[in-house]
Order: sequence, then C-alpha cells, then structure tokens
Amino acid sequence: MTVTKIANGATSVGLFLAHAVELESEAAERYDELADSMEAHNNREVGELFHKLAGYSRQHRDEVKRVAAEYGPLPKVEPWEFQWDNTAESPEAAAFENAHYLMTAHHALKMALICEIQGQKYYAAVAAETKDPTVAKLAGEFAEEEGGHVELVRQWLQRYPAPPEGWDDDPDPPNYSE
Amino acid sequence: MDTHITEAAAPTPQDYKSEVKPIWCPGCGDYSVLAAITRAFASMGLEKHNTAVVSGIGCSSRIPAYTSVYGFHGVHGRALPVAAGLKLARPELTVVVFGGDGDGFSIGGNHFLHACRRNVDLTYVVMDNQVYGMTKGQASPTTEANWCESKLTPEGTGVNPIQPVQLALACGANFVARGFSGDPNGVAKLIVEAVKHPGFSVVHVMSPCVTFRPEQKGWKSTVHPYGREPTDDPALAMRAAMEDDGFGLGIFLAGNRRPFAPAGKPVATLDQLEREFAV
Repeated sequence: MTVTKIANGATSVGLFLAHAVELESEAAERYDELADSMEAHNNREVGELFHKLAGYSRQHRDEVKRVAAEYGPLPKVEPWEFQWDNTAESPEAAAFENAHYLMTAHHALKMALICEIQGQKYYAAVAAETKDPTVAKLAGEFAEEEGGHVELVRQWLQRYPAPPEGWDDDPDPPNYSE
Repeated sequence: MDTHITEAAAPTPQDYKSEVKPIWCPGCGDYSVLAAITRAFASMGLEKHNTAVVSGIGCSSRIPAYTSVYGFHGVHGRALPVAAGLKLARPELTVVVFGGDGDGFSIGGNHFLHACRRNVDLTYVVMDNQVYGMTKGQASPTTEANWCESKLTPEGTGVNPIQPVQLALACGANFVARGFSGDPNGVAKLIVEAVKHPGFSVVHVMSPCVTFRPEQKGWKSTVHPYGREPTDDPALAMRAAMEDDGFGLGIFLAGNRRPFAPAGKPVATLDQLEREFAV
C-alpha cells in the first residue's frame, strides 16, 4: 500500500488530534468567511446557513479538544506543517471559489456535503494507514462520526432541492464593465 | 514531521481579526490572504501594540480595517512611503504593507522601485488579481496584453504586463517570494519568513478576482511549487524567475543586503524634531 502524506502528518496521537482540531477550526473559519460575504451581499438566508455550519464545526472542534484533553497537551503545529495529503488546507474547508453571491441553500449544502465527505475520507485514510493502534481507533471513530454528518447533510439537501435554471441571473450584475 | 512538542498557547489567528466584516465578493481570494495574515501573526506571536499594517487603495487595501493591530489605510499608491516613514521613526515596530497590483505597480509604481532599492526593513504583500476590481474591471499593470473584457481596452492593452517578482529582484528587494491565496497556509509561511528576513521583503500573492476575472478560478490547478531552494544571489534568483512560467510558488531570493538605516541619531522627542526645522 502506498503511504500518503496523511500518515506522515499523524504519526502520534497528539499530532493526529492536532490535525483533527485544525480540520474543524479551518472549516469553521471558512464557513464564517462565506457567511460574512453572503451577508455583505444581502443573501441573508445563505449567510445564516453558513454561520450555522460554522457553529457546528466549532462544536466538533470543541468535542475533539475534549477527547484530546485525555491525552495531554496538544503539540504546537504551525499552519503550514499540517499534512492533508493532496490538499493545501483542511479537507473540510469549503472550496471558496465555488461561492456565488446569489447561491441558494441548496448550493451551500452541496459545498458542505463535499467537505464532510472529504473529512470522512481523511479520517478513514488515517485509520487505514497508521501503525499506531490508538490513532487507528480514534480515526475510525471520527470517520464514523463524519459519516453521520454526511448523512445529515444529505437529509438537509432533500429539503432544499436544486433551484431552477437561471438562479444566478442578475439584471444588474456587479461585473458589468464600465 | 519535524514538530516541536509544546503546550499550544494563545494568541490565535482570530485574535488578530477585527470586528469589521469584509465586504469582498464571495469567492474573492483576499479572504484567504486575510486568513494567512492572521495565521502568520499568530504564529509569530506578534504584540498588537507593536505591529502596524499599512495599505493604499483598492479591494485588497481594505486589510487594515479587518485586522486588530494598528492600521493606516492611506492614499492610493502611497502605502510604501508611509510605511517606510513609520518604520524609520519607530524601528521597534513590525510594519507590514498590503495592497493590490494597481496600487503597487501603477499608481504606486515609482514608490515600489525605490522601496526595493532603499531596503527599509518592511514586508510588502501584494495581492495580485490582474485587474482593477474596485472600479469595475479595468486592465491593471499585470493584466495580460490580450485581455479584452474591459470596455476601456476592448482589444486588450497591447502591452506586456509587469512581472512583479522580476521587478522586485531587479530593483534590489532583499526577499522575494510568490504565493497563492488558494494555499493560505503556504502564504502564512511566506509572510512569516518575509517578516523575519531583514530588509525589504516582497510577497507576491496571486489572489483571484472571481467577479471580473472568473477564469482565474483555474489558477488552483495552474500553480505549482517553484521547485528550487531559495538563493541569496539575486542573479540566480532572476534567472530562475525568468525561467519560471509565472505560476511557481516559493521563495526566490533571501538576500543578505543590509537594511537601510538613516544616518545620525533618531529623532525621539518633539523638541528634537522642531530643532531639525529651526532656521
């Protein structure tokens, strides 16, 4: 089996838990940024939804911190030292460039779904690759929890179906060249 | 993984954000640069009262409002002379300058040349989206010659864009690097290295404008590691930068020029300052 950068980054319980805290922290920060940008563009419904998603990410971060407290102080890892395999940032940080000022709750939840799936994949990969039994156990549990989040977002998506074509039509678009 | 085990402690990146919410467009790369800045400041544990951010005018120049350190949102293109004056008057401060490609290379182009040449101990982060976004999408000094989307230049500008990395090297900047807003942690690292490096440091950050240059979303798959170790030789750095395709990320030069220091004793009191102007 090819060992990826993921296993290199989570070589001990402390480092794994530091990654888990960062994964949720970066996700929360990105959701907050998206929420702020939506509110600035008067898309209040989606702004509120992104703030809610940020709140969930912070809640999960705090849960990880509670688990981590049982294993002693977390190691200090610089932002650029985290290793997420092929991505430069946390796998749960939403792809910012996919945001649109007219996006709907459906689009926001689709972004969130991708994030949760990526988070689940990350933990599953750590569980599969690590040689540390404690890391494997914790990563397996976290992967299972992320799987629950994936299902939850899928259920939400059923309540918010895709909007009809033309949802991004704007008679006075901001990029009208002058 | 080379990681030192110590108690994780404050400050956090959030501590360096202000209560003011950004008004950039959804998807704008500048959000990630702001995240990178706050992560870099937290990593260095900068004291807020000893840190100042200075900017000019433009979308990216709004940064001082969004940070909780001291800030000065100045005149278009004049961020660098303001910052140089501040650093020379208060050398104990960490001074970081932010701005965009229009502010830095057009309106403030002349100041940029001489800031590189003078080598005051500052860090300049240029968020380059190759367009004037705030004024609704005109070609900037870094826009490609054949970009035709603006009514002002319907057939393109017809002139080659400025290459910020090469320009900084040619003018004598002591530290030159390029980052991408899609990698905020990588940009944070470059900012830390730039601030710690003595002299004038330039961090050229490619930061997409998703509103007027939506095609820049593709930068995510175009950028790549620069692939060479930083050199302290400007000639080698220049050759490498010229061979690069403009999308290479990393540190091009970490030079060893001595930072500029004014001759004579620094003016510390108002009395001393008044005597300077006495006829």
